[in-house]
Amino acid sequence: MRPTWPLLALTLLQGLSAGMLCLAAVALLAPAMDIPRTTLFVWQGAAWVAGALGGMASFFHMHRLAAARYVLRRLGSSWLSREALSTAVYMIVASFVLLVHLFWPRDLGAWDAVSGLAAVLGLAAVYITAMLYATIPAMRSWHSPVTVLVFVCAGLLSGGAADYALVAGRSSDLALRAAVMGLAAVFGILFSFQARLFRQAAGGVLSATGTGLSGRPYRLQDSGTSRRPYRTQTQIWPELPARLRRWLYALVFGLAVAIPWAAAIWLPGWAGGILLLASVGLGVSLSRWLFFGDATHSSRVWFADQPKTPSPVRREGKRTYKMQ
Amino acid sequence: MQLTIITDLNKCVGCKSCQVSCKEHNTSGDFGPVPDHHPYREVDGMWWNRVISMEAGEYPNVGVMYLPKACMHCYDAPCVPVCPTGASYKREDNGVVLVDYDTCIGCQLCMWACPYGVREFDEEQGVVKKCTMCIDRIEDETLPANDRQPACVQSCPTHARTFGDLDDPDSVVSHLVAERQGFTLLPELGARPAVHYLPRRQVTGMVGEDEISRVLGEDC
Repeated sequence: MRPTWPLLALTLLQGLSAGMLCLAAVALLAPAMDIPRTTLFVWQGAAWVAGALGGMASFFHMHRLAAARYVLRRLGSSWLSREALSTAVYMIVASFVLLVHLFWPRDLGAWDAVSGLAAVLGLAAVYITAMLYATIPAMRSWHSPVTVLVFVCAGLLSGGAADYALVAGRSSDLALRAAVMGLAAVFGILFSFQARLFRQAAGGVLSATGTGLSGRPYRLQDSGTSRRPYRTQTQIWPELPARLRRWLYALVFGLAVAIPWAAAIWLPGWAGGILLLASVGLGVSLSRWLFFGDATHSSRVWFADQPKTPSPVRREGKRTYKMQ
Repeated sequence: MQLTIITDLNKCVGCKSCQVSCKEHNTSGDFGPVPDHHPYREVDGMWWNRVISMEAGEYPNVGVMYLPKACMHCYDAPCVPVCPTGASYKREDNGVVLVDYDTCIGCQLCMWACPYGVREFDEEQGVVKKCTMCIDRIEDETLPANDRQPACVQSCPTHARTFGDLDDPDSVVSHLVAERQGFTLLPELGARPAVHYLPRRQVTGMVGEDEISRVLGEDC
């Protein structure tokens, strides 16, 4: 399908925000990490900003804001209704985290409790967003638990990278560095599963499966109009060239796994932190772009970009025909 | 009651009169649901009914099939439960799946959920639109009985399309589906479409090289 910037911004920033808050909660509840509370507050503030920007981006995905007041009508069946509710609740609790620390700085117990609650709600919001995509059987590439795992892991990885960049160069970043490296490795494994799933989905959607017509091979002559309806039907999009796709997938592995590992091992300090954050940010963003742009919808059966086969009837001379 | 359209793929000749009559009936400039603001500049605009042309087989034994494809008005329409505002709904009295443009936010999730790619996004109004089975015609009691059917059914020159109630075991459409092994598209996705197709009859004769030479010889 066509990747749109509001969807990319919403899903990426929501994951980043939840990931940062989760690691902040873990650091609060596990004093062994020995990260100053001021730093944790900075993490939480940055997480709130990312979440707010993501929430604002979601408004641009709605094309009729006048009807937005009905968005919670189908909580019983629509994951989009649930996403709107869970993201709103998460942002409210994330705001409380900041307010509690600002106005009741001595009440550390309350701060710890609200921080833990915000982290759980953040993970729930990411889970619900991922379920929105994973529960669509027609989108063959997404209809898998791998989608949920990739979303959660991408959120934790990007949040961890942002937190790491904010404390890089201090002695307290060792545990965090190990956590980010572990998350990058897990993300690489999950992303390879997702890539395989996407290829299987693309291979399973063929013209042959959607017509019941005997005889092979199948060739789509005409999809109803002279051009594919990519503008009015956003669930399909031109297929990426195979060579470009391979390069893009390799680039995701390089940016989200290889470079972060190299930066964490050989480049300590601020420079390493910034490089790791930039690399993870670009890698996760590209992986999310591929999640939308390389997805295969079942309706591709009728709008397939199959290569045109030249006519086997060759005209030689004036009116002589030969069969190849 | 489940209203449906049955298409006999043996009779469809791909003339696209159903595609054109659908657009003709539902387009009225700025007022009709199908936008047609720039019909000459942008001929590939919104179409609620598309006739797909599919070729199969190896020369000289090839076949061409024409598949008119519009909303399937599924029993378990996957586009309905995903809609956050309730804009997509299925009527309980006749089974037609419709969109309430006033409550649609244009999130397009229903387009991703529909397995058949029959929902279209109107960028100007910011809402998703689709085949209504000409609900305005079939419920208009001022029309003669013969006109109370979808435009695509009425305009088909070969009578390939039949309109009726699939839940009524005595209806013509039920008999056609039962007796001619009517099939649905992508049944594995579990949407249980109401729209059925009557399969092509198997072509038994094979075209040989001598036959081609004879025909080409006559042509020369």
